[in-house]
Amino acid sequence: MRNFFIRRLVTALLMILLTTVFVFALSRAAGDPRYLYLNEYTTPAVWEQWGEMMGLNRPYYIQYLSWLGDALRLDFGDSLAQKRPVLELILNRAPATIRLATAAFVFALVVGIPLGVLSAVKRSSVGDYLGRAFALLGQSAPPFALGIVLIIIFAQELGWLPTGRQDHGIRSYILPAVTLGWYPAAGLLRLIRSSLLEVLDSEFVKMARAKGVGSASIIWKHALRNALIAPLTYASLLLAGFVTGALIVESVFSWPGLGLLGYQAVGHNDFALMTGVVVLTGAVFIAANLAADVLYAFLDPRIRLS
Amino acid sequence: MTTRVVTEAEARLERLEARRGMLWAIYRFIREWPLVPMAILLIFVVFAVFADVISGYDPTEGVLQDRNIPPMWYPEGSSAHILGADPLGRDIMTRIMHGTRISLMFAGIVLASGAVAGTTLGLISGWYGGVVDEIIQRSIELLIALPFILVALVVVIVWSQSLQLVIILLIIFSWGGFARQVRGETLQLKNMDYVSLARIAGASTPRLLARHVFPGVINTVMVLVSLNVGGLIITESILSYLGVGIPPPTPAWGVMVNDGRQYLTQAPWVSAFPALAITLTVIAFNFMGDWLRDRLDPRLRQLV
Repeated sequence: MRNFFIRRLVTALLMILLTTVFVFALSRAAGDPRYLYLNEYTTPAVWEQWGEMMGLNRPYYIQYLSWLGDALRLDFGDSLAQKRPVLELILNRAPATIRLATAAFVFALVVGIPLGVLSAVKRSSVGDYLGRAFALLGQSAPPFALGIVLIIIFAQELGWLPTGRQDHGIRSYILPAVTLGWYPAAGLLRLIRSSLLEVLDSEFVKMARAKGVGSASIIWKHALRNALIAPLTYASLLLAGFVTGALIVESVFSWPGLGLLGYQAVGHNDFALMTGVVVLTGAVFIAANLAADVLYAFLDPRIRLS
Repeated sequence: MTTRVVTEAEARLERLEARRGMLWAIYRFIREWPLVPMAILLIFVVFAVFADVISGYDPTEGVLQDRNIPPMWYPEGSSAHILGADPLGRDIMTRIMHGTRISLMFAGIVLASGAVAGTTLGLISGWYGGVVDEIIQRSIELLIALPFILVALVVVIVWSQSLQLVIILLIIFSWGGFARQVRGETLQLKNMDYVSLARIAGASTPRLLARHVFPGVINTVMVLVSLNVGGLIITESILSYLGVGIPPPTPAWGVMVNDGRQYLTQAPWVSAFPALAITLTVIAFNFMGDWLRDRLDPRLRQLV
């Protein structure tokens, strides 16, 4: 177990390091960074002075190391469009994204788990078909299309819900959270359905049935507990999915979070801001993957052996 | 003895079916073949191939007097624009049909290249093992660990938006799944007796791989291709929607949904119809993929 954990941790750290190399290489491939601040009318003397200041005359690996040093201290420089430190912008926007992701996570659990259980227990019933239709739709509709259609139906035509932004209290969370949470809810539903079907067919469940244990107790206490290993791992993977999901959903609902920040950075060609957003969210993504792996190994001893 | 039992059971089943008659046969046929998804895909393929023949409108040039005309079943709508027109006066139906062409071509190019590259690397990785295997497997892990859409955003800021760039990026990110699965199967196949016998008979390594191992993995590859089409169309539409995919005025579905975003109150149809077109196509492809998997390779059920 310890060896497994250390190996995964080292791999994850290497991944994060590689991400930074990748982002730095891209930032240099984009051309001389002085073009971002100066234009072609600056005198050669000023040009040289900026080069000296930014350390551009040093070899690439030294430049990378100093950039990495800054990045480790979470210093990504100033945003080109907004002229404020990147870290400050990110910290301002992070809470909105975290709140949205939490709401979507709750939605995915509250909808995915019961529907998955229903779908498996009452196989080939109306409920099963409805549950599978819900899953198929969630896995087939891209989040932006889902969001736009939900806005048109529930905000425009019916006028029941506000279209995002945070000025309507809890009601403004409903549409964005459903849009962001539908895909993970669908995945959770399918995983719980298939693993519960497998467990319900196993010997110990038949044994419990033969002993005369009640049907509800078999499903919720005996079977579900054993069927939850894969879905639990998936649940921690959801965090990774929210990293890119939030980007799309926030741009649809003008939700003032990290995703919208990154989306605007693309619009303004704001490279410094984009670098910060990508390195930080990439690290969260990799850490979430690591957590899922470790959790899986912790819950299912069979994994550790291989 | 056993054969008699089977034939008896079969005969009984046949008698049972004969009693239920024609309707029952039709019901079984519908259950067995995914007719509805097939029909949807067929319609979209016809759209893609004959877009210019079916519609006389230009997909990129609009008539400004027609801007935001509603679909024909609205009181102000007209049968000239069946699904209405967008803010630049372009016919939405025409653009959706041309968008089908873009999406299907895109998915076809990326999947074909990804499948060929992934299968080749997977065969090599599984057959030779060692350092080559290690390098290929670690790079797949790296690709899976990176948030693809974020990476695409940065890359597009650096080298500006273009169709070729998106295709190359998606190919780079799509071969990993194929390589991983093919490697696993190659590991099993290479220890099979018939492969060893072929080797003893003097077959060269390329011949062994091409004639004896490759036919064993082709089913898996086909199933993976069909399972991946939907996801690929979604990814392309997300990139186009975010403005880093296929550049406008090319009528990609994601671009079309984004075009209508400022007009959701006055003209919701501009965004709604392309959004429905993507969803419908992906549902059909996902359904077909599941069906093909169950038919060809039930072991892959684990892949979700």
